[in-house]
Amino acid sequence: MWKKSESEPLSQSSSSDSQSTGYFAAQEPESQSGDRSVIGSSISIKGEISGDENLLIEGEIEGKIVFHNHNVTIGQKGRIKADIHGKTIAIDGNLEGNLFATEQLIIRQTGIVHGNIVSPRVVLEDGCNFKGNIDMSPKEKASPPLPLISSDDTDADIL
Amino acid sequence: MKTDSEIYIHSSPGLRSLCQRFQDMTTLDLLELGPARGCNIEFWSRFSNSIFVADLRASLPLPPLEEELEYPESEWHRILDLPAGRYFDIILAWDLMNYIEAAALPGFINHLNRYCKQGTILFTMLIDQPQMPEDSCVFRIIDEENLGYETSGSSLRSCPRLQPRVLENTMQGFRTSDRYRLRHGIIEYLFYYIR
Repeated sequence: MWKKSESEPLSQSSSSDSQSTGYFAAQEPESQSGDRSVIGSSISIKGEISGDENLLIEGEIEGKIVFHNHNVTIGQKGRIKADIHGKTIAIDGNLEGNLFATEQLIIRQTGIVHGNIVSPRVVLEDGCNFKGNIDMSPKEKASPPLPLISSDDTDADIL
Repeated sequence: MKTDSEIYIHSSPGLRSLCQRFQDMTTLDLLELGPARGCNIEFWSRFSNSIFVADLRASLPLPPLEEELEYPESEWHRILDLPAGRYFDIILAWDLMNYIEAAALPGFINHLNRYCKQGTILFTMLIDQPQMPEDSCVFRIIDEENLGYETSGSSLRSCPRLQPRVLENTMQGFRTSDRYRLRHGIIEYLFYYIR
């Protein structure tokens, strides 16, 4: 069954790598410089981190990472035991925890992830190591908030 | 990271049949026992928003047991830790059955039973060749009718050549739905679960 004559071999970099194109194409998180903070490889943090700018983590973090409207990247040296909330989350390092990305989740070739993913778009690059659940249902899609009381219905009961 | 792997593409009537069964479904719950591959996740996302990747391949070969003759089911809870109370529509076992010792297969199937519901389909393959690759293949879905077999390295080992009847008897709770013997020495199986 392994004879080349019986089938057509493809190289790893062939066009059959559909995850590198189209809808599931890996998009670089925005703002790779400038408005991005970096937690360096010698830094170790226990607790919750939150902020309003993009974040690159090369250090060690245990706890929770909340950057709802920004991108979070775990660099190759990053070692994380935490849930992460972000817009686009990219993993190059090692993570144990759950990932909640409102736009896109990327696990790169060197990424090792044990945990669950909730994201409308998921990109798993060849060579990555992932164990857990992938939930791509659009639960987190923002819907316009309903007015509690409409202007022409001000005496309606509010339940 | 492996760099010496090659991919061979073969037609897969089992995959085609599986897709036809579920073509109108959009809320399937799927258990992938093989490793995570982006192209497979993309493919299944058409049918399913929820995919559990167990990557059993990373736990093989199973650690040897010292005294017991059969692999206890409790060991499978540790090796294959699946979410309690979840019942999958599709289980993708690929060629993994060929790499699990015969004594461990009943416990494996009993363990999977806990995560099945009426009609769950399990897709697996037997290798019917004297030899097989040292490690289980990684499968890439090319399209609804074709699978890519990704082998790592050229070393081979003897194949258990599990006989179809033996496998079918081992599949406690399952019945054979489809069976396809392919020219390259693979028998594809679709089993369905009866509660």
